[in-house]
Amino acid sequence: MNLFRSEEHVGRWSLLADGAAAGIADPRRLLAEVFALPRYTRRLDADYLDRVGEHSAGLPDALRRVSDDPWWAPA
Amino acid sequence: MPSDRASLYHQVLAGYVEAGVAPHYLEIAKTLDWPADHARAVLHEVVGVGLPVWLHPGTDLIASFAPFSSLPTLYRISIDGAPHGYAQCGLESLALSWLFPDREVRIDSLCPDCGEPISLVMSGGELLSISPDSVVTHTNVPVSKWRGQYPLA
Repeated sequence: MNLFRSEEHVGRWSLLADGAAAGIADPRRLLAEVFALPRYTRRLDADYLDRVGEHSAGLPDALRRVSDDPWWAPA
Repeated sequence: MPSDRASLYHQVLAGYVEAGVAPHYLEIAKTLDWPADHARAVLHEVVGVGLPVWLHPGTDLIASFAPFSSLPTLYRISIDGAPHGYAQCGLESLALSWLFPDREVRIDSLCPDCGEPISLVMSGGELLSISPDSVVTHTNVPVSKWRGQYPLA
């Protein structure tokens, strides 16, 4: 998972996998939707690992808000 | 009371936050007053949970523990201007500022396509600057297939 200078740079990347153009996302959107979830904000809690399932409950919806492409759909 | 797995997870992450590197399981055992074999076993249990954390193959050495990496990556971390190791990847670099409350977290990277610089500055979950403004994130593996191949994603 990388940062690129622009979408055009992703398209030119020599290691781009088949179909992986769908893997592009806006970092601002990821920060607001995904990385603001307790799964990421509570990592330093002493009981984080015991509660990671609960903290991750919003992840599928957050990923959908970043992109509705199947590339971003969780398992 | 946190489980042993949670206690070990916390010790690893706190070690990265404090020093920029992962603790060895023997150091964790001393800190938690555990037998060394117990710390080693719990370390392997934590790695098996399925989060983006992994050991160097065939060892008990922590290679990467989201959002940090013990191995050099493209994503150099600075905290209030001081070097602090590496982020696991470009996406996880966005998660770093929560671990350093009231501090300025800077990521310096290079574009995998052209090698030109990229930088992000964050604090408290807020993006303070991004350069160039056109920066995007990219995952080369579908999210549904991340587990089991995090290093390639």
